[in-house]
Amino acid sequence: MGFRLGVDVGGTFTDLALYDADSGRLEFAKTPSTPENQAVGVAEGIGELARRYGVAAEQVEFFIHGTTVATNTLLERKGASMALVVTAGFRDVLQIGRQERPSLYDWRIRRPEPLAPRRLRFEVRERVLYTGEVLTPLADAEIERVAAELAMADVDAVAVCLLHSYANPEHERALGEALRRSLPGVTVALSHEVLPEFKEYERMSTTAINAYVAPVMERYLRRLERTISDEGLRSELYIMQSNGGTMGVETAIERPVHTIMSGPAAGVIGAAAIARQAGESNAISIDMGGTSFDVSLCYEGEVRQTQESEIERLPIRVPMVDVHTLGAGGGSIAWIDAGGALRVGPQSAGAAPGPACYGSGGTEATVTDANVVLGRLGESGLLGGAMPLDVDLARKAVRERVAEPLGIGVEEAAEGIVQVVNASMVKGIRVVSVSKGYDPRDFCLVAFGGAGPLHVSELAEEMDIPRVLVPVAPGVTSALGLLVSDLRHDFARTVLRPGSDITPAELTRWFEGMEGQALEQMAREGASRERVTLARTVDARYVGQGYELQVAAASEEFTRGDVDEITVRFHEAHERSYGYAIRDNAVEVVNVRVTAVAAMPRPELAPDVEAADTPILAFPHQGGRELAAVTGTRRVYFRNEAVETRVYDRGRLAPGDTFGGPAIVEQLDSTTVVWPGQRASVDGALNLVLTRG
Amino acid sequence: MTRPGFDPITLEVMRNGFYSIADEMVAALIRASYSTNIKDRRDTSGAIYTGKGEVVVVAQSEIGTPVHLGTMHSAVLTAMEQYPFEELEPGDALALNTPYPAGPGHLNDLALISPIYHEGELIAIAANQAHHVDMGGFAPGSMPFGVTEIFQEGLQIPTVRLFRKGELVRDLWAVISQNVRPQKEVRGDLLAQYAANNVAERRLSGLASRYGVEVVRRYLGEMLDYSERRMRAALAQIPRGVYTFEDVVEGDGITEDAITIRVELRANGDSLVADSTATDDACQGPLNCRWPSVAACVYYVLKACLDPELPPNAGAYRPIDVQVRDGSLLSAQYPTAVCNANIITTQRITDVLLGALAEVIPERVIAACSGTMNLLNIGGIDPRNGIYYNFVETYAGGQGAMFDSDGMDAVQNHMTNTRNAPVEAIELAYPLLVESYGVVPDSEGAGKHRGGVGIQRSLRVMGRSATLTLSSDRERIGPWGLFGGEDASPSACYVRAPEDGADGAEARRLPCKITTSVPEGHTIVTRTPGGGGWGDAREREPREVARDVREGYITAERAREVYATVVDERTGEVDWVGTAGVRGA
Repeated sequence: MGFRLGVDVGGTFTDLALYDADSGRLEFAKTPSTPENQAVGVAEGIGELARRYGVAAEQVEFFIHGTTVATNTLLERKGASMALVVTAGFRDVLQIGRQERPSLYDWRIRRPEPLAPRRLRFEVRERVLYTGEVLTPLADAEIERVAAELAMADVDAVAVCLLHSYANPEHERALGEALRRSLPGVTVALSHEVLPEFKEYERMSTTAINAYVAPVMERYLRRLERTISDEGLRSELYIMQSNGGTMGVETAIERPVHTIMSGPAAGVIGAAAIARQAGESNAISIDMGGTSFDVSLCYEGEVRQTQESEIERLPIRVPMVDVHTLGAGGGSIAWIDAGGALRVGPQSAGAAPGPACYGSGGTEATVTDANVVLGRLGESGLLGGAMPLDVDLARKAVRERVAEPLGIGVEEAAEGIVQVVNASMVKGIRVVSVSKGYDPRDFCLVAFGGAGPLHVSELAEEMDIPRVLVPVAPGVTSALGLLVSDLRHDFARTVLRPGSDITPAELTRWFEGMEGQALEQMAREGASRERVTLARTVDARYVGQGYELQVAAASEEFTRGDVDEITVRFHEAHERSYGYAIRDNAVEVVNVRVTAVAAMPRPELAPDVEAADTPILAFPHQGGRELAAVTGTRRVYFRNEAVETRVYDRGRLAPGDTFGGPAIVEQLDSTTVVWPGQRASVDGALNLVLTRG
Repeated sequence: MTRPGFDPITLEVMRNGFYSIADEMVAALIRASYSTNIKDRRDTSGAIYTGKGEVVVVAQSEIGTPVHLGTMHSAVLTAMEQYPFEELEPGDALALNTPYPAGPGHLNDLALISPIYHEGELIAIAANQAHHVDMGGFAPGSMPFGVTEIFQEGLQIPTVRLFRKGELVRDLWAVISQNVRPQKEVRGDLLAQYAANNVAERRLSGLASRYGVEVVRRYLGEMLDYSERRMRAALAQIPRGVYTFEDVVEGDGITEDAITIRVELRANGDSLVADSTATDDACQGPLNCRWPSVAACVYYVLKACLDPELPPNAGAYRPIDVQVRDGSLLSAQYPTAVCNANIITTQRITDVLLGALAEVIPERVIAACSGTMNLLNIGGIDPRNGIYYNFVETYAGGQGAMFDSDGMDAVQNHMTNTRNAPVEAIELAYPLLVESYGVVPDSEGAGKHRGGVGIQRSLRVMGRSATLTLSSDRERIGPWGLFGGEDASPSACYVRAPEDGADGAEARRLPCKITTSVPEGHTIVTRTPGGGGWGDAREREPREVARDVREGYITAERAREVYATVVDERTGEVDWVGTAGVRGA
C-alpha cells in the first residue's frame, strides 16, 4: 500500500491531506489556490508536500480531488454555448420553470436566465405518453432536420430532454446517436441518461446543467491529468461527488453535474468520519468561514442526502449531501434596521476590506470585530501572529455602528452581535435537524472552518446538544474528508405504479438491471465485485401525494411478501415523519434506487500534525499536563462580565488533558471558546471535546 | 438578557425562533399533503398568533399566496368570536372556511386553527390555511361561474371543532365527505393541515418551557410593535397627499358590464387610509369579496413598494385604515357569491392601488401585471379508473415594467405565486394531454422598458367530456402601461375541435368567465396577458429590441412598427441606418 492524497481546491486555499497506509501517518498542507487554472495550485501543493515530508510523487496510489470547477462555471455563467432539444410545443419549459417569481414581494429579484437562450432551443416533432406508448413517432427526416439546424448553430454542447423519456427513452436514444455522429466534438447529454426521473422541468434543468459545464470540466480534468503526471504521479484520479462518494475521472467528465457540491460534500464526510472515530454515529457538522455557514447532518453513520437541491434557483435533481447554507460568517456586518432591531448579515465585509479589526479600511462592525471586543479572539490574531487584529478599530466600529445607536455599552453590543448571529445559525441547525424529524439532543456537534469553533459552545448550549467536537485541524476538514471517502454511484429508475400492481419478478429485474450497470461502472473504475456493496431502496408515497419517503428493499429475489413488506415499511416511515399513517390507502412506488459503494483503504483518524517525524497511531493517555499548554491569560466577556481567562496553545495539548471553562484555545487556523461551566478534554485523536461541566 | 421593555437583541433571537416554527409548519403541511394544488403548487399558508388572535408570524415561503395575509388574520379573529375557546383542550382544532362575516376569501380555503397550551395555559394560537381542491357545490373545483349565491358555490363550514384530541371528528367528517368530490384528497389535506399545527404546538411549547410562558408572550407582542414601527417608517416615504385611481373588472360572467373599483389613498405621514368606498355595488356573479381580501391587497402593495422585507403582521397593519362600503363589490353582504374574487378582484384592487401610487412614488411601483390569476378548473370522471378527478391551475403572465427595467416574462404576479403543474404530472394524474406550453410572442406592453410576455397552454380532454371553469379577466383591454408605456395584449381562451385546424382558426372563443362542458377530444387553449410597458417604446435601446427579435419574443414587424427599430433579418443585429430613418433622428 502506498500513499493516499486528498486535494481540496477552495476559493482561497488549496488544502492537501496525505495518508501513508503503511505507517498510518497523516500530513496536511495548505497553498494558495490559482483560480485561473486550478491545476497549477494543485501541482504546487503536491510539490510542497513532497519537499516537506520527503514523499515521492510516484508513491501516491490514490489521488482524490475535490473541485469547484463545475460550481464556479455555473455560478459565473462561463459554461458552454449550449443548445437544447425538446418535444415540439415545449420550447419554453426551461425558461418558465415552475412559473413562480423568486420573491413574493420584491419585484426586482429576477429569475435566472435559462442556460440555453430561446434561439438555441429547438423543437422536434415526436410524442411519448406517460405509459411509454408512442403517440407521435420520431421520423428520421425530423432527426436530420434538427441535426442540420444544430450544426448551423455552432454550439459546444447539446442537451436533449423529451417528454416522458423516463418511461420510454427510445426517441432520446435515437436522437442522441444521430447527434453524436453528426456533431463530433460536441457534448451531447440525454435526460434519460443524466436523470431518468419524472417531472420535465427538473429533469431538463439537471440535463442542461450537465451539458453546460461538461466541456469546461473536460478541459480542466484533462489538463489536471497531464499536470499530475508531469509531477510524476502515476495514480488514478478520483473526483469527489456531491453525494459524498468519489467517481472516476471519465465518469466525472460525462456527468459533471454530480460534482456541483464536491467541496462541501468532502467537508461533511470528513466531519462525519471524525465523529465516528470519536464514537459518535449521530453528528451535526457546522462549517463557519468568513462569509457563510454550512450545516449538515449525519444520522447513524449516514450523511443525510437530498434529491431536491437548487443552485442559484436552478434545480438539480441528483443526490447530494444535504447542506444548508446561510450568509453568516466572521465577516457578516451588523446593522440596525428600520424597526430598531439589531441584525447581522447577509451583507459581508468579505476579504477586502474585511472586518474593521483587520485594519484594511473596514469601518463596519462584523462578527469578527465583536469577537475581538469580547476578547474571544486575541490581538495576536490568526495564522500564528501573521495577521494581527486591532482591538481599538474593532471597538470603534462596534461602538459607532451598534452600541451608540442602541444606547448600550460596547461589550453589550458585541455580545448582542454574537447572540444575533448565533440565533440565525440555530435556525439553520433546526432546518437540517428538527424540521426533518431529528432531535438535536441525540447528536454531537462538529465544528470546523475558521470561525466554527468560536461559536460552537453557545450553539450547543442553545440547542441542548450535550457534546461538541473540534477536530485537530479544523481548517482542513475537507481534505481529510477526501481521504475517507468511498467510490460511490447512485442509480434510479422511475416506476410510478401502485405497489400492489408490481410483481416480485419486475422488482427483481429492475434492481438487477441497475446493479449490473453499477458493477460495470465500478469495474471500469478499478473496483472489483467483492469490494462493492449494493443497497436497494424504494421511494414511495400514498397514491396522490407529491413527495416520497425512502424505504429499504433488502431482498435478493423478491417474493409477494417482500413487496408487501415494502408497503408496511412505508406506513411506518410515514407515521414517524408526519405523525400519522393511512393504512387503507394504496402505496405508490415512485422510484427504485441502487446505491453502489466500493470501500477504499482509509486512515485511522489519529493524526499527528505537530510532530511529523513521530508517526503514532494512537496517543498514549497522558493527562494532567494541560497547565504546560497555558500561554497566558486575558479578559474575556461572557454574558457581559469580564472574566480573566486562561489561553491554551492547542499544539501543546495532549490526549487526556482536561480543563474547565472559561478558556480560550488558540491554534494556527482557528480559536475555540470554552464557556464557563463547560469542560474541555483532549481525546486520543487529539480532538477537543467540550461537554457540560 | 432579561430586562424589562424593548430589547433589540432578544427580539432578534426570538424572531428567528418564531419564524423557524412557522416555516416548519408549512414545510410539514406541504410534504404530507395530497392534492397537487398544495403539494406541488403550494397554495397554502401558516402563521402564529397571540392568544388574542393577532397574527404575528407568517411563514416566509416565497411560494404561496399573499392574499392569505388578510384572510388568515381575520379567520382566527372570527373563530374566536364564534367559538368559546375555553371549551377547547390540547389536541383540538377548529375549522372555518366561509368568508362571512370575515374569514377565508372563498370556501376552498379552509383555515385550521389550534390553540397552543403550555402546562394548561394558552400561550399562542397556530393556524394554517390550505386551498382544498373541491368543496362541493355547482361545479368541480367549487369556483364556478353562473352562480349568484354562496350556497351554490359549495359547503359552508362555520367555526366547528373538526379535530378533538388529535382525531378527525367522525360525524363532521361524514358531512364534509358527503359533500365534496375527491374525498380522499380532501381528507389527506385536512390531516396534513392538522400535522402542521402539531408541529407548531410541539415547538411553541418547547420554547415556553425554555424561556417561560411570559417571555414567549411578551416577545410575540414585541414583534407586533416592531413591525408597526417599521411600517410607520415605510409609510413616511409617501409624501402627504390624496391619490386616486380606478380600473375595471370586465363583467361578472352574467353581464358584460364593467365593474369599477375606485380607491383613494390618503397618506398622512406615518399612517395611511385606503378608502375604497366609491367602488361600484356588489355584482350578481361570484366576484365579490369581504374586507379581509381588500386589506390583503393593501398590505401586499405597501410592503412590496416600500419595504419588501417587512415582517407582515397585525402590528404592521395598525397604521393602516382600510375602508369599505357595505353592499359594495368589496364588502358584499351574505349570501352574495364570492368564489372567484381571489382570482380576479384582488388582482384588480392591487392594480388600482399601484395606479394611485404611481404618480407619487413612480420609482417604487410597477406597470400593470397580467391582472388575472387566469384559473382553469377541469373536472369529471376519469375514464381510466371511473374516479372523480379535478385539476386546478392558475397561470402566469407578463410582469409589468419598472422605471429602470423590463418586466419578467411568464411569471406569477401579485396576489398569487403558486407553481405550475408539471406536464408529466398532469398527464399521469388526469385524463388530459398537454399539447403545448410556452410564452406568447408580441404579447408584451411595449415601452422604453417592456412588460413581460404572457403564457399559453393547450390541454386536450381525453376519453370522456369534462367540465371546465375558466376564471379570467383583462380580455377586452390588456394591462396598462405607465408614463407612455403601452398596454399589453389581453387574455384569450378557445376550445378547438379535432376537426379544426391546428392554428385554431375554427376554434370556439370562450368568454373569460364561464363554466361549461368540453367534449372528449377537444382542446382548451388559454393565453394570458402580458405586462404593461414603461416609457415611450421608440426610446427603447435598439440593441434590446434586436435581442428580443432574435430570441423570438417580438416579431421584426412589431420591432419596426412599435419600437421604430429595424433589425437586419440576416444577422439579427440592429440596422442602425434604417432605425435612424424610422425614428426620424
